[in-house]
Amino acid sequence: MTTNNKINNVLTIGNYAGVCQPMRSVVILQPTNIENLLNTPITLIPAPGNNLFIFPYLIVTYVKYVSAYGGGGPLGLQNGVVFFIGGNVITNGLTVSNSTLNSTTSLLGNNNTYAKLNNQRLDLIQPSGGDFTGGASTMTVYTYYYIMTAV
Amino acid sequence: MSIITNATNNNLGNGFFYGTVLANSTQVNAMRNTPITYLSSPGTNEIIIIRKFGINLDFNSIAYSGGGTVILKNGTNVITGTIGVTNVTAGSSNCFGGGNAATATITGSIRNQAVLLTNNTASFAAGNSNVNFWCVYSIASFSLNSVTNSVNNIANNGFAKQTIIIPSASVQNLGSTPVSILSSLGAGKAIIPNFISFLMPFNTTPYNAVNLSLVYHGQSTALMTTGATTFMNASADAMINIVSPTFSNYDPANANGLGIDLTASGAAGSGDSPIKVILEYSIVDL
Repeated sequence: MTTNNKINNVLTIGNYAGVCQPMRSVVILQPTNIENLLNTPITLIPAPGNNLFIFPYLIVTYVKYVSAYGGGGPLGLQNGVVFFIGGNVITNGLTVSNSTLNSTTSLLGNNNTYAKLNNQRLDLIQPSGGDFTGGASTMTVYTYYYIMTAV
Repeated sequence: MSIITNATNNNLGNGFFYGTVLANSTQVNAMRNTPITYLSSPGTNEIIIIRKFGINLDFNSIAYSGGGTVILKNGTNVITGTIGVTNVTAGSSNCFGGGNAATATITGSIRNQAVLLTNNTASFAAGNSNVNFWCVYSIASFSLNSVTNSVNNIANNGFAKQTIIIPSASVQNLGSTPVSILSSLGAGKAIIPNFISFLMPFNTTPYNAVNLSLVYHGQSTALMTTGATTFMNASADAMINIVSPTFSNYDPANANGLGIDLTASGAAGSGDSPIKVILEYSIVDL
C-alpha cells in the first residue's frame, strides 16, 4: 500500500501577510501510514520558508472506523526538534477528538530558539510503543495554525 | 512612554487580527507601573478578544532580572493567559506562544477598552533586549442593532462562525428549553465547536448563577460549558470565552448530522438581558 499519495494536504502554505495567518491543514492518513507511524512520520505542514515558523494551536482528529488497530502508542507533533506529545487517538477506532495546544506543552516554550523553529515542517509522529497493526480505519488530522515570523 | 504599534490591526482574514508591540528595554522595564497601550480602543460597543498571546525575545547581551508574568488587560480585567517571567528573563532568544484567551468572566466597563500590556509582581530591570509581544485577536460587538443571526460556513479556509442573539425570554427558560445555536449541516457532517464567546449587554436585572452549556441537539453531554462562573449573575456588561470543547474521543455517531443547542444548568431566573453567542467551529466529514 502506498503512503504519500494518500496524504491530502488541502491547504498550501502561502497567503500569509508576512506576519501571521490563521490557516488549516487537512491530512488523511491511510492504514499504511498509521501502521508505519512509529518509524515514518507524516508531514502535516511543510516547511514554511526562511525566518518563518509554524505555530499550531488546535488539532481535530477524526478516525473513520473500518476496523480497529492493535498495538500502537501515543501520537505527538514535532516541529523541527521541538516536540510535544499527544494522546492515543487511533486504537479507539471510532472517535472525534479535539485538543488545544496550550502553554503546558513544550511547544514554543522556553529555549525554543529561532534556529530550532526556523523553516521547520510540522510532523505527526509516534514516539514510542509498537506498531499499530491489523486495522483498516483512516484518520483525518485537521491542524489549525499560524505562520509566525522571527523578529 | 512611547507606544510602538507597528503591526496593530493587521487584518488576517477569517475574523482574525494580528497585533504586536516591539518594546525596547526601557519600555519593558517600565510596563509594570506604566502599562503599554497594546491595542487601541476598538470602537463603541466593541470588545477585543485575545486569542493567542506570545513573545519573541530578541536577546542582546544582558538578561532581564526581576519582573513577573506578562499579561494583557481590558481595564482591570485580565484577558489572556500569562507569559511566564522566564520567557522574558531568558539569556537567549526565544519564542513562546502559549497565552490563550482568558476563560474567566470579565465584567464591568468592558466595552471600547484599549488592551494594556503589563506584568505582575515587580518591574523588570537591567536587560537590554528588544521584545516583540504579539497576539492574534478578534473583535466582538455588544450591539444588538448591528447583529443579524449569521452563518459563515466552512468554505473560507476551514473557519466557520455563527452569531446569534438570544432574547431574555428565551434565556430565562434555557434550563428547560434549549435554544438552537447552529442548525444541522446535514447527514455525514459533524460540527466540532472550537471557540465560543458569550456576551451579555446588561439591562437591569441579573440572572441566577447557572452554567451555560453547548450540547448536540437532543443530547445531554456538554461539549462546552461556562462552569461555575459569575457570568450569568453579573450585574454589568459581561463576557466569557470557552477555548475548546470538554470532550475527547467523542463517538461521531452521536454528532452525525446534529445541530448545536445551548442549555442551562437550571432556572435562570428573571434576568432581562439578552445574550449574544459567537460560535466558531469546524466541520468534520464523517
